[in-house]
Amino acid sequence: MSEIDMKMSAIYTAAHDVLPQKARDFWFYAEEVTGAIDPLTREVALAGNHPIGGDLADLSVELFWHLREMERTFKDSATGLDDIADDFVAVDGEAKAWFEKHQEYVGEPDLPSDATAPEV
Amino acid sequence: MADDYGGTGGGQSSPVIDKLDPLFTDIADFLGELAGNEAAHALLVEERTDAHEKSVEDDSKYSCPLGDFTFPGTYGFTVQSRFLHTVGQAPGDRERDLQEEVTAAWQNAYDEWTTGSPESGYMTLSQNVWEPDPVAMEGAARDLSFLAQWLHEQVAGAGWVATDDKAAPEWLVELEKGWPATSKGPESFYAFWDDVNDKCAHYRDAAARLTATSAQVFAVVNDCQTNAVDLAKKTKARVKEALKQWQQWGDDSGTWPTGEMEDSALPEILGAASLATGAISLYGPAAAVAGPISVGAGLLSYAVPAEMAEVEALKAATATGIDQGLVEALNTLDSTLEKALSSLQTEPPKDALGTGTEGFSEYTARVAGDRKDWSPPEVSL
Repeated sequence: MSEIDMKMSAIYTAAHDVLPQKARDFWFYAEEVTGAIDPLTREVALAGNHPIGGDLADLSVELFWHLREMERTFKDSATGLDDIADDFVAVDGEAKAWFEKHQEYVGEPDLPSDATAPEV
Repeated sequence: MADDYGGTGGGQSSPVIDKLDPLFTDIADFLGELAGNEAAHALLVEERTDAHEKSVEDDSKYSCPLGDFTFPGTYGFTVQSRFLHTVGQAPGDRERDLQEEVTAAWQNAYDEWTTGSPESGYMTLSQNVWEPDPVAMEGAARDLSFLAQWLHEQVAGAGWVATDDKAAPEWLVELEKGWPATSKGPESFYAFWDDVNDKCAHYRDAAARLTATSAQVFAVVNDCQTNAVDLAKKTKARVKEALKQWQQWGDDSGTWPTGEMEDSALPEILGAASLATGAISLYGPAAAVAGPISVGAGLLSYAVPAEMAEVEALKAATATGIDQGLVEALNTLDSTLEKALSSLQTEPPKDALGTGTEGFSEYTARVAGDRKDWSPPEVSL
């Protein structure tokens, strides 16, 4: 593998494959928290509206918030690296030639939308 | 495992309401029959006393022969009792009239009891116990346990390291080597990447506490529901037993049927403290991280060891006594649920997994306070 191949593969792999997948992982588990906490607090509310439901909701919201923060940071990093790579392609002949052979990296990375926050 | 309550088990049980509702309805109906027996019996006692006194006063005018009187109902029976006979009258006339009075007294007492729908009262008293659906809670706890385990995997080793670390993924090493000179440095990104597992350790701990407490809440609700069904089943058995005792009661001595139940040593309402402690022992944060949490819904058995407590309903023999005993037991169950859930808020975890030794409420407050420290470092590319 040539030097330009290594260089361009690394940045586009990060921007289009690795980081979007990490963002999707954190998105998935943030959604899991939302999916779990809504029924849980609904059922606890039926148990005489016990305040432990509020604690469960509060910790879930904290956890969700951090998982979504991770998801967003991965998404922003993917977009940032893609922009950097595209900028380099625009000014470097070797990079441009490489990019023309790798049309799979045309366009923005495929990123998930923001995870749905719990309604609690 | 056999299902004592007729369900299919394995988390597929119908909601507890489907079990409790018919039990409470049967209890209310049987209590009406019991009240009917009591009213009819009181009438016969009054007649017998009157007949005895008058025949002693003037045996030329009155006598007190034995007659057969039938008590109606599912558990109906016929009993012999003395009635007042006025000399000159046909004894059969008074016996027939008295039978009509017995039937009417029985029916009035039954109607009076059942018109008030005591079963609705029992349902209302136990609503906080039967209304939550433990199956929905169980699913939530299980999903949260998958999150805790995934986060644990991130902590244990998923390449979240510095670029010069041996465990660094190849693309990261190459990214550093070939970073385009046209852009500003990627240091903030590397710092973020290297820090992900540290942050995931915090999130794992939170997910483990959340999973464990959810499972504990599930266990408490499930046990209270199991108790409610047990209590209703045993109360129903007690009323039936009392009605059968009436059937077997054949003399006219006036002795109240107060026989004890054959099996009086029944484990009943769980103690609130042991319920919470048991749930905490079973489902700690370490268990949540170790593997899929198995909470086992289905009202099949107690998740947490039972504690013996006496239930007055199971010792009473009268309609009012059993009713009041059941009301008291349902109130106890309601406050048991409340106290057990409160204990889950404050009792420290048994296996803390380094998540802190605070009770759940305090831990949650600390996590909210540490929000900034738990956030990933900013990436600026």
